[in-house]
Amino acid sequence: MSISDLHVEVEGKEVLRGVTLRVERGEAVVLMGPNGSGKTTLAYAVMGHPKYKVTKGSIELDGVDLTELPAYERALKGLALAFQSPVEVPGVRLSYLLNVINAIRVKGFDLSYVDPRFLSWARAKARQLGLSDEMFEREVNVGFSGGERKRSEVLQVIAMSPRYAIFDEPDSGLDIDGIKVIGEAIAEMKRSGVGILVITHQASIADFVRPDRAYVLNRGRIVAEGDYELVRRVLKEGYESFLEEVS
Amino acid sequence: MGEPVRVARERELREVIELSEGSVLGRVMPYPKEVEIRGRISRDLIEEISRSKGEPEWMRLLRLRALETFEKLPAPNWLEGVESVDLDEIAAYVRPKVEAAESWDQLPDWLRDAYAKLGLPEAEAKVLSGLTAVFDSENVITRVKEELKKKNVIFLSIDEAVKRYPDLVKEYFGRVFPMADHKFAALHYALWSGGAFVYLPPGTKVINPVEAFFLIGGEMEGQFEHTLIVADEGSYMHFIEGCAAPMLKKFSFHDGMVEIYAKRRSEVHFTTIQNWSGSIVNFNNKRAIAEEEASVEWVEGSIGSRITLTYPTTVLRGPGARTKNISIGIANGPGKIKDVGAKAIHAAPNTRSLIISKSISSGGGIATYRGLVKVLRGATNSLSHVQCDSLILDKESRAYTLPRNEVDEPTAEVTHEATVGRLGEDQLFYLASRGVKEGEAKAMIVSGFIRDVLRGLPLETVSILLKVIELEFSELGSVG
Amino acid sequence: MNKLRARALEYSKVTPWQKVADSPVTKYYTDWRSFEEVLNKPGQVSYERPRGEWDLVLGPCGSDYNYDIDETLLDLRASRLYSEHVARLEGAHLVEARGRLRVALCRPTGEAWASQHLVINVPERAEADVIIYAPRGAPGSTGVEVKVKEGARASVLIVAEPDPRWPTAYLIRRAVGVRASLSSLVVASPSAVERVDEQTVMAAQSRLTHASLTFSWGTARVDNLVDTVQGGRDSSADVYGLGVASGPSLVSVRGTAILTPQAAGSSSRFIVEALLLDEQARAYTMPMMRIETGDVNVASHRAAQYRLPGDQLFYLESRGLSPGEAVELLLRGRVDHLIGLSGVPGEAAETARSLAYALVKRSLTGGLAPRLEAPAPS
Repeated sequence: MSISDLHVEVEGKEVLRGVTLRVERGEAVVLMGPNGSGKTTLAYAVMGHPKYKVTKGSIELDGVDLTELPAYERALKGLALAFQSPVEVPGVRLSYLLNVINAIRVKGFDLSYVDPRFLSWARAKARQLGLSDEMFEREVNVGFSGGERKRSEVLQVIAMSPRYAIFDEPDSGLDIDGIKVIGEAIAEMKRSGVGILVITHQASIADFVRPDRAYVLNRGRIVAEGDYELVRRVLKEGYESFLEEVS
Repeated sequence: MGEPVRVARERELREVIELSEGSVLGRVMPYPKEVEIRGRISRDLIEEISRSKGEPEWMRLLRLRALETFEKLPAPNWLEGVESVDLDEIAAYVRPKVEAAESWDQLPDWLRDAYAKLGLPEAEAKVLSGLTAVFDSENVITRVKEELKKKNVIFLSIDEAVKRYPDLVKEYFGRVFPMADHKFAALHYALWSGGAFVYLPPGTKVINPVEAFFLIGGEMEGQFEHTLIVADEGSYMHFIEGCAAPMLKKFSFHDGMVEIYAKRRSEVHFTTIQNWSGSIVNFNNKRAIAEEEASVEWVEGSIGSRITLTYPTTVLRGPGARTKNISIGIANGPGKIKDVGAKAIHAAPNTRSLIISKSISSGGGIATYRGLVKVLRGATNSLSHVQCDSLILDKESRAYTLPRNEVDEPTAEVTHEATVGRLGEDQLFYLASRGVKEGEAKAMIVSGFIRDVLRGLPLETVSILLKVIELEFSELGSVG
Repeated sequence: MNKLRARALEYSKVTPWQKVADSPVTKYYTDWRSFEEVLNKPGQVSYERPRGEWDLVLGPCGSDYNYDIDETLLDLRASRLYSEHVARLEGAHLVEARGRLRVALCRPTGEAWASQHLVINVPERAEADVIIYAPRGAPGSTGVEVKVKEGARASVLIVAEPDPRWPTAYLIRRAVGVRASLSSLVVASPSAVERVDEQTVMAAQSRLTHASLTFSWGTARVDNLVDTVQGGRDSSADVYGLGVASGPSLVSVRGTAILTPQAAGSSSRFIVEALLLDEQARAYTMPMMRIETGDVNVASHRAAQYRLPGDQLFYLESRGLSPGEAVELLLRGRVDHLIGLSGVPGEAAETARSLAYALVKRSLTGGLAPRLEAPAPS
């Protein structure tokens, strides 16, 4: 997945000012930055949210230019996003949504298609991620705690079998056990060849998903690029001094 | 269960079914009756009024046109509680004459008592009871008058304004509230007298809230008073009319009007607190036009009178215009009706309306919220929310909520919520165990119920209002 | 039938279609003129057998069960529509319901006005689960009265399928007796001018959960009124209405919840929603409450009119659903939710669901204007 010189405007204001980064298949890349640096904007822009306007630059997935494509086509081409604050979708049960996600990939959109094998796989995966069977039958995100939402997001991303996956703050709202579970799930995906981008500002997930490379985003620009050492330094020194040093 | 009991239960169901025969159903309940109009208003009376005021020709013609319109329009059939209107009686009262001032001692005991309980000094109480036309030894009033003068704000009785600023008044008078809107609006235009005229020059911000009663006193208290406020671009004012303290009125049918023209980026707050005693039928016609980015806020506190009907309306005519409409209605006592509400018409994109209504009924009173949110096609991305809460304090009292939401623009979002609360025996018992009497408990709960909408009002207004509520629900019963 | 019909005939001559305007700006939400125009249209009406498998098919095309009725829950003096309906009935079908019952009415077909009427009685302390299919191929009115007697429990699904060309009124009246309970659901497809006129009267300690689902597409005008009158102590009513509008159509979802002075300790919850699917659709909502006593338990109502939220649509699209697919999924979700709220059990819920899904699909195809969604939050 390669993002080149991406400029993104939101409501007339420029938030990303030329971001360049890449993620290879099978590698885990961490994107860090202080609050307000534009991390979530990047996630939304890459996924294709209509409110985030790309004014310059491009987004490519395995050589295919995604920049003009609508969100759902990007998803069908192998991109998945686990939202930081996923919205509630009343009336649509999680199990049902997963069914549909599977159906699209297997036989095309069909609201009545139910694959019992897929469902039992999904249910088992849900349990593994710490979601009870009862949650599995609840309306998507309705009444879910922050941690439960994160688990539900990861479950959906796994069900999508993507080639590249972006995780926006997957560790926030989780306790240490939760981070472990999510982290291991993401690490498993990486091992199976998915290109992973983890967006975070606290990077505790890095303990479980060892990043190959890292970027630091500040005020809409990439200000640093490095390997795992970079992650350690940012964590140790905090953003302030690090950013001073860089500028 | 024995036979007689079973039969009785069957009868209950049949009674329930019979209930539906003609008398209880929603949209036809009770069978609507047209208001009976007795007597008449003559052209001569209109001419006499106009002549005695020394009005310009255009105003005299407007009145006559209004009388014609009044005669042509049908009587309304949706006024619950109002059975008849006696025009001869109105004509007698409205005829220009010199009022003999009464003395303080001639006022009824209960009224003087009420003022004492409210902690109002005698001087102020005299003003409130209509005995003095001007009251100017209060520092606040002087400060406000100075500010108005300094900022070139035109603020005077409308009768005078018609003569002193005829072109200005003519440009706006009658343009906000159409005379053919309903029969009593036309009657108002024929008989109007008294009221305030305010013109705010562009960019003028009047910081202190202006309590009209204290500035132009008696002028504000007529039966058909007409207040016209024109806020030019970027101006700001908070206008307060009426008073929370109980007031005695001689007329029995009040048909007043307020027109507000809020130009681009202006902001007008209009507060009315009314606590008229007696058997008055209080009919109000209030409407504002808000241009681009303008804001109009109505706060209506209706406490007194036998029946009050008031539906402040804002037409959001310019993009980005906003309106907030807060109404508090207290119907305390048998036969007391507060039929209040709000109307918001969205006629431009990105407009917003917020309507909050708090109605309280007690002692057999009826509190009604009647509203309309109309979003015209083209009013894209407009938002409207209505929250109407009713508090019913005992089992004899009633609450009606009758909203209408007509949305012709699908990008608009219109929501409405209503809840009905009650004062239950459990709460009363709990408070009683703390030594709080029933009347006091009612007063506590009512003030808590309305507290959040009182923000933004001047402190004195709020404190008198809360004291009035205390009095209203105390063991001595409603005032007047 | 004679006395009741004679009375109805008299009233029909002097009663207006509607006495009080619906709002300060719109006189009538129902287009009465269209009804007036077809009222006396000449022509023949035949009765066709409805499709599907039914326990009872009622009318000239099936079994008759035709009787005189001497009373009706319809208030004949309230509107000309009700008195005309009763005056033009040749008879009414009276059915006692116990257990599972699937009933269909013969389909009146033709260009002249046709009125038909069905009364379902659920005897005291009985249990019944009823599905009523009421298809029409002619203008006019279909009346359905459901009376749940003391202590009984019933669920009733009414499927209203008018002929899309003709002005049609479905007059639905429900009475829930002392300590009885009713779960009720109405699913209606649209016609050019349609009025789905529902009312439930409730006695002491009765329970009602009810949902109405109406669709309007093309140039349809659908007016759904759902009134509830609670006239006895400790009764509880949860009433929901959802109107889904697409194309240049208008749907109004409204009603009045009344708690009479005898309804001490009762509860009422009334929620109406109108969902607009594209830039041409319009919706009016009018939930009203008349509470005649302070001794109520809980009373609340809510109305909303909205588009499908953009952030929810985007969320589904990020999972690979196309915009149309996301809309359909969300709509199905809303419909499922509403059917759940009505409380009708298994078989009726299934029937309602598949019908509703078909109506959802029909709403989304058929010449939609550009897709409409609320802007996503920042």
